Amino acid sequence: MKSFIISLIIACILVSNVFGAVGGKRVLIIVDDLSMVKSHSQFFSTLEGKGYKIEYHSAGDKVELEKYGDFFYDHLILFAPTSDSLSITSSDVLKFIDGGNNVFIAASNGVISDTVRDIATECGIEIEDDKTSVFDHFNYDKQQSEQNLIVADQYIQDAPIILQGLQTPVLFKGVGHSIRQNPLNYAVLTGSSTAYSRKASGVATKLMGKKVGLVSSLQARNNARVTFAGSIDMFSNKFFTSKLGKDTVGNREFAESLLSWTLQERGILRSSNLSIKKISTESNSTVAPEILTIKDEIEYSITVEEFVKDQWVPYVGQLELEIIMLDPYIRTFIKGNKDGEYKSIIKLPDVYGVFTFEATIQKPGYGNLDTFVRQPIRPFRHDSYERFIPSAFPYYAACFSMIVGVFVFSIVFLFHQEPKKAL
Amino acid sequence: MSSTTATKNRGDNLTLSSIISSFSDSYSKTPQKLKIIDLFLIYTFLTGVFVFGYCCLVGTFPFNSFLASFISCVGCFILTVCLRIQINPINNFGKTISVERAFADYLFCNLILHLVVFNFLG
Repeated sequence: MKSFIISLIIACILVSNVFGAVGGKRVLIIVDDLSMVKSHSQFFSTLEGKGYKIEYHSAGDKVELEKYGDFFYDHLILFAPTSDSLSITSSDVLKFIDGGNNVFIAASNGVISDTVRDIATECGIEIEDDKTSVFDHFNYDKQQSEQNLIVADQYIQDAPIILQGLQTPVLFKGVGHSIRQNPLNYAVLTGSSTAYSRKASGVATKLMGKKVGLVSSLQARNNARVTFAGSIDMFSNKFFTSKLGKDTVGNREFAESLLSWTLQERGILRSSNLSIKKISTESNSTVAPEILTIKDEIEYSITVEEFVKDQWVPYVGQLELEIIMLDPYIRTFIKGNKDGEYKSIIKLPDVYGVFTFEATIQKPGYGNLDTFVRQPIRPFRHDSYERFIPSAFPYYAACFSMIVGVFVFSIVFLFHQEPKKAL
Repeated sequence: MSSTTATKNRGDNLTLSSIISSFSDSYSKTPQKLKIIDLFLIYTFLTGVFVFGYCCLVGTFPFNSFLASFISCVGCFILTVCLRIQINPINNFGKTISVERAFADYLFCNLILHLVVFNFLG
């Protein structure tokens, strides 16, 4: 019985390891006031059934994200754009992000607290001034008179993993932002070319067209994900159930996809089984033959997996391999097979030194994969070089002829008698 | 009168045949030992040209071998020229450096040169 329980526990641990989320399951949700829990209940309910442990707090509550280097939560959903009484500071949140945890922030077109602004700025997102909203006189919900309730469908094109091919437009009512030119930032949703940002006083700001960011994300180098949405209303029950004429809006699917991506439910990569095998070599050295030698042919292979629906499955795509010693000597792309194995046969450069074999995958929307291993590549040993090469025989002959020449010349020189002069 | 003859002679000297004849005249006065050295110098020079020509023809693949043999030719040439300078009576080295001493130096230098060459020949 005892052994049965132990094996059950071990089985549970194994199962939880296989199916566990990458980013953990503890979610902290901070809202401006707790009535928002009700008004956004459909948004929060998308987390249900996925094993998340959710804690709700209003902005005034005293909460801590971290103590002595341990994080109490894995994800933070910050739906408190206006409140000044937040007990966590922007530096707390940045430390949280640096620790590899994920943050989902939403703001509105009212006043935005300095904390939210600071976090966004640190993540490459510049929010417009307080009480500024995005207007679009061509794409707005025509059943309503407000022209800042815009219909947005300019989704990110090069990272389908984020929104999973969503086409339906969404309703948006909130503040715009701009993102910095930065490969880590994604403009997930932008305004159409007729959108612009306008202050409550009626003065338009310089932000307009497709530069108006509505929802943007940051995929940090440590795989932490930060999403900033300019509208908190777009996640409300009211917007989820709105209709555009006869069609339903895409807010629910948009929010679900965006939140699950932000909480690292997919698009995280990991690598394993890295191996560098020697296939053929020009060195005939018997001393430590396993060490790589210049001009060796090697087979580089690595397996890459992707986190999808709580499981690690093979990732099929393209991997960039660089063999670097200060400069990349070899840079090549390897295509993966259906088992997620990336294999390539490579001829090492004719340069010796300590080289880094660096495999990277940088695909928009996916986590960073950067696996490297350092290996020395040594020169030929003195006895590994070819000897007595036929094409060099004339050189050998020339050397010997010099020696023979000096020898003969010496004999002639030593035994030569100057003939008597005729004088 | 004599000055005009001198001018005329100088003009004659500039033709090729006169240059050659004046060269062979003065060269015939060279001691025979130096002539032997000159013969050997021509031989080393031609070998060097052959090695270089072969390298141009075949490519630089065993580059160390090429360098070694070329250096051996050039080195031999230089050492022999040094020997020739030292034993040439015109240069008056006879008082400080005897012929035997010069020749011993020559052999010693050749030994070192060929040690290096054979180490490098591969």
